[in-house]
Amino acid sequence: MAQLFSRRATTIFRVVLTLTPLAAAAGGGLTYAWLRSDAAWGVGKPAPQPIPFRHDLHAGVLKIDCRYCHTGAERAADAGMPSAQTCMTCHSQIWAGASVLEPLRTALALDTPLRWRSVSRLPDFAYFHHGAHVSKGVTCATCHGRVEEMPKTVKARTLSMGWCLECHRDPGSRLPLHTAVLATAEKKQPSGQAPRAHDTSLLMSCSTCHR
Amino acid sequence: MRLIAPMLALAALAACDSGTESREEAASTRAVQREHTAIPYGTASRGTAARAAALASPGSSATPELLDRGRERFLIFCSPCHGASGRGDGLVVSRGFPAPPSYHQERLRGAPFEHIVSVITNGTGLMHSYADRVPPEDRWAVAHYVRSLQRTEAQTAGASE
Ligand code: HEC
Ligand code: HEC
Ligand code: HEC
Ligand code: HEC
Ligand code: HEC
Ligand code: HEC
Repeated sequence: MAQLFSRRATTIFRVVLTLTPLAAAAGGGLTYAWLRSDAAWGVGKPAPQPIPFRHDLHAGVLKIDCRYCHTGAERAADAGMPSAQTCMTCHSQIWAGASVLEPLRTALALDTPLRWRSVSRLPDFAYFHHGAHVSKGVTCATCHGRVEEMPKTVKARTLSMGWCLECHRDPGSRLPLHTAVLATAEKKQPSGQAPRAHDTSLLMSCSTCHR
Repeated sequence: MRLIAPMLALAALAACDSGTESREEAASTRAVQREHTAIPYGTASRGTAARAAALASPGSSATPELLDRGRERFLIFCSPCHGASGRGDGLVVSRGFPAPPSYHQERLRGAPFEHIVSVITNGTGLMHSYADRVPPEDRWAVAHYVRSLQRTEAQTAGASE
């Protein structure tokens, strides 16, 4: 009976034996890197919107305050999306007949909500509260980037759990307490009293964000 | 044969959902602002009495806190059209919005607080209502701030004459 394996087979077998674990390790490493990359979290990717709304024009050029449209950001859990009525305070006069604003008029006529697409929605098992952060002086740009320069709204940070915890571990060093975005947030503290030390153990406990 | 069980387990794992799946469809319906849905005839919504009480005048004494709050709210909600000084020269007006009247004309300088509060609450002419975004207590703060704008303007005008 002829030999089943040639001499070369031994070499090939050895090469495959060493390469397989190497490839597996590299694959694992790549997956790990990809899951941690910005792209995997959709950073910088715009969502298709019913109206081509532009923050760079409204918040940048026209300098409309974020809270004109996202009214809940200071006190509520949700920052809130502007209703059709809010857009109409200006667009009943400006660009009134424009076809890009058709969804706006439809929403108003039928009394239905405008369905904006979110780029930053968290999964349902995670809890977030805007008021708790904004009233402590965390600026919108810390988490959303420079929205007033975006022609299309995109995510600027991963908003992953690791990213949240990076700040929660030591919020004091990251907070611009002296240049608080909202002057009133500081004024509410009785004068002469040092800002409340953040209870880090509470900020790091699972049930703060998973409730 | 012994491989089949681990293979099946792998296949089952592959079917698992990831936490980072895209969720656009769920967007913002929970964030729609609606404070103006009509309530059934003969009923009152919760907090009606509290809102009515907050709409009543807090008196003509403006504390510094009230003015600060009014200034902040004014800059957010009114200055795009009325301008930071109330002359009706906001940035939106420069892009074609019909210019609102200046606060510093005779008629508006003489208007009572209640008039400004009612304009915020109900709107007037081309100006829409801001009741959904400026709560009653803030309307008085804004009215007081508008009054203080008028006073400073009148003083500087008087000084330059
Ligand atoms: C405070 C006033 C104001 C509000 C509120 C407002 N806009 Fe505008 N919008 C403007 C002005 C001013 C322009 C620019 C007009 C111009 O320069 O020709 C504009 C332009 C636009 C354009 C055209 C952009 C372009 O050049 O392609 C769109 C679309 C638009 N707005 C959508 C919206 C939507 C949607 C909302 C509600 C979320 C909204 N706007 C709320 C003032 C406003
Ligand atoms: C004239 C109204 C208006 C103003 C002013 C405005 N926004 Fe927006 N914002 C919108 C609309 C409409 C959308 C939804 C469409 C989109 O994503 O482009 C939106 C979306 C967003 C989103 C994405 C939310 C999500 O879930 O994807 C962020 C973040 C945001 N805005 C932050 C800001 C910040 C920060 C400012 C102030 C610098 C600001 N906005 C000013 C109307 C406004
Ligand atoms: C500490 C980080 C952080 C800060 C500061 C912050 N946001 Fe957000 N924002 C988020 C996260 C996380 C979400 C997603 C929330 C969710 O899905 O429950 C979000 C969602 C939003 C949305 C989508 C609608 C909604 O209510 O979910 C808007 C609009 C928004 N933010 C605007 C703002 C504005 C305007 C400011 C500044 C006044 C601000 N945010 C400050 C983290 C932040
Ligand atoms: C830049 C810093 C910073 C980042 C980033 C941040 N937080 Fe916070 N967070 C804070 C601070 C500071 C507080 C404490 C406020 C206080 O002392 O009441 C807080 C408080 C909270 C609370 C408690 C609110 C309450 O009910 O009192 C929750 C929940 C929370 N954060 C969730 C999140 C989530 C989820 C993320 C990520 C999407 C996040 N945070 C990212 C700084 C941050
Ligand atoms: C500061 C807020 C915060 C705290 C504290 C926190 N988490 Fe999370 N966690 C998040 C957010 C936000 C996400 C969602 C990230 C995403 O998928 O978008 C998340 C996701 C998760 C997931 C799902 C991961 C995935 O890939 O789907 C698990 C599991 C989890 N957290 C466990 C924990 C445990 C266990 C603790 C306590 C040790 C904890 N978390 C504490 C904010 C927090
Ligand atoms: C979108 C632009 C716009 C914004 C924002 C706006 N206004 Fe006006 N306002 C107008 C216009 C236009 C008029 C003139 C209305 C008319 O006579 O048709 C007006 C008129 C007024 C008047 C005079 C009413 C009269 O008796 O003639 C007052 C007072 C007033 N606004 C107060 C406010 C206050 C307070 C705010 C902020 C909460 C505000 N406005 C925000 C456009 C605006």
